[in-house]
Amino acid sequence: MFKTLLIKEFKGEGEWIKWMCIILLAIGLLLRLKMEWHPSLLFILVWGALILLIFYRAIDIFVKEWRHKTTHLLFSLPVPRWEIVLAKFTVIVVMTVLTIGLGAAIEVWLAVADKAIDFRFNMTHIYWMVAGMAQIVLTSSILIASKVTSYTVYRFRKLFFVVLFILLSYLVHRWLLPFTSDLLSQMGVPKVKVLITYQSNTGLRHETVDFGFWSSFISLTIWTLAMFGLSSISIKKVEVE
Amino acid sequence: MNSVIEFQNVSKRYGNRWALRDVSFTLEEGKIIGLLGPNGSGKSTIIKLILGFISPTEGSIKVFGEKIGQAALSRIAYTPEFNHLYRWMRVGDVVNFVKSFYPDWDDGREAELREFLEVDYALRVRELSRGMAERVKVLIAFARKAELYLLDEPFSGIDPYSRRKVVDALVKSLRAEGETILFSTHLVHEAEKLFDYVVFLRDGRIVLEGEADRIREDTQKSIEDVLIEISAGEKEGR
Amino acid sequence: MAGFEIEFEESRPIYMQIMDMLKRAMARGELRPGDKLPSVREMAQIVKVNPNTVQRAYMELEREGFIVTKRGQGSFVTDHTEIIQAEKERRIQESINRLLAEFRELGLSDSEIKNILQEVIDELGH
Repeated sequence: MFKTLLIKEFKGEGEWIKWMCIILLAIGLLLRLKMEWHPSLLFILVWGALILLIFYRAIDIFVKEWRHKTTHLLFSLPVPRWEIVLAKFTVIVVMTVLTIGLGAAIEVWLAVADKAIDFRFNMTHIYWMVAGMAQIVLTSSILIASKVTSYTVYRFRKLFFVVLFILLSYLVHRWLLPFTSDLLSQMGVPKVKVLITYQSNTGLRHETVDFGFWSSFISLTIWTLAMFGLSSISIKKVEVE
Repeated sequence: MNSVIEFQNVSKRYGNRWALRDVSFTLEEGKIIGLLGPNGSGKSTIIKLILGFISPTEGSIKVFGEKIGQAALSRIAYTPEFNHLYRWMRVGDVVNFVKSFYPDWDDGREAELREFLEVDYALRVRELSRGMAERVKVLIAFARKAELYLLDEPFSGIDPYSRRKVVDALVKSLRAEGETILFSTHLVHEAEKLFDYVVFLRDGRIVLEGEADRIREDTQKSIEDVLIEISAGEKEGR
Repeated sequence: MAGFEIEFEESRPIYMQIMDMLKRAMARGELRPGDKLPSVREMAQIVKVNPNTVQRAYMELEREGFIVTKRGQGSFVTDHTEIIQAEKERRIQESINRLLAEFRELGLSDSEIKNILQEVIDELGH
């Protein structure tokens, strides 16, 4: 019963998801009321901390089963083990998307509200926020997937493999990025571009930024699937003590 | 009689330590089997091997005549010796969670056990005493009409009242419909009258096995006394 | 279903003790010829043992002729009263032998035993 497993994983992470949303909304509301604090390091720090928190949850969602010995319930259930991994992956992906989505939504909301003060300035801000964060977030999502795998690898008590997996996942991601980007433009897929206007020392500047959205998205998907496959295989061999 | 569990020359090694050494036995359908021995004699290792939680270093294991897998797991009800329930769940959530995985769940038996074991579904697992947690574990195992029950140390570390309740619930739950119950314990007194068959373990090896009444007849001793003797032998041997 | 009370001696086979309990109930007349016995499962619950053990006790009792099992109806105390009578006599004999052995161990002669027993019975009678 995959549905039951999924509900259980969501409820198990329920407290974390609830507080992540509350903190993000609170910080958004705070900055909306105190516009002079915006653009704010505070927001970046909180958002960054939440991304790190997802890292932690991605590992702990597996580790806690062993810590509380609930593995003895989970692995005695008549379900294939890959379903257990899939349920956990799903929750992590949803948590990631939720944090990024909510963070971006708040940022856009603040920017629109800021228009009255200094729109150009805020466009610069959005550029750095979104471009920088997108890169961090996409890479970190891949790392999350690899960390999930590395935990199950870690069950084999080889720390070496953990480091290797994280390194490998990052390298593969970087390697895939231009490749998929080229492939996509050959296929005629339009690039997601954002026109940014901002104030610089030499005056008003216009810039077009290619986020590499689709290629990132595809390499992320492929890599996550690969990680999922690896996790499913390694969890089969995991010993339950 | 069909064999439910078959161990053939099974050994299990952790690092340098052999938890189990060349163990072979066949357990028949419809029996209540006691897996007896002092702490660390290999009882839990055998149960974890049956469930496929760990793989044998040597030898082969068959459950219901096959290698353990998802199909076999759906016919097994298992409770470990510690609390393996999700701390954040309420008892009712635990029951519903487990229930949804097994078509052999019997609501009538659940209601009966709930009343008899005095289980409060509104409590959170983290609030349960050890005795109450054990009762919940027994409830989720015996509310099912499983073919094989694996109970690891169901009586240890709980208060006398809970222990009595657990033993009585076990007796009440016996259907005599061919279900097999294997339980490990070092507290034999509580369950002395329940065993059909007993397997005595020491230092990862089987030292004695046979029908419980046969052993009583041959030794003129209770199973408990036989176990005490075997455990004492272990100390002398060291 | 009252009357089936049993303190198990754990060093003796449980099935034998169940047989013994039932034979005693028959000898005492607590179970009469033709009475229906509790089902294996019920009996297991009453005396808190494994149903397989009760099953074995019933099987042995049937083999010895104390009970008959009718398919689909259950087990019944035999109508052959002579079997129960013989059991009663065996029990009486067993008690007497035990008592005599104990008296003799205490150094009483047969005539002394006879006198003592007579006295006790007279006293109880009045």
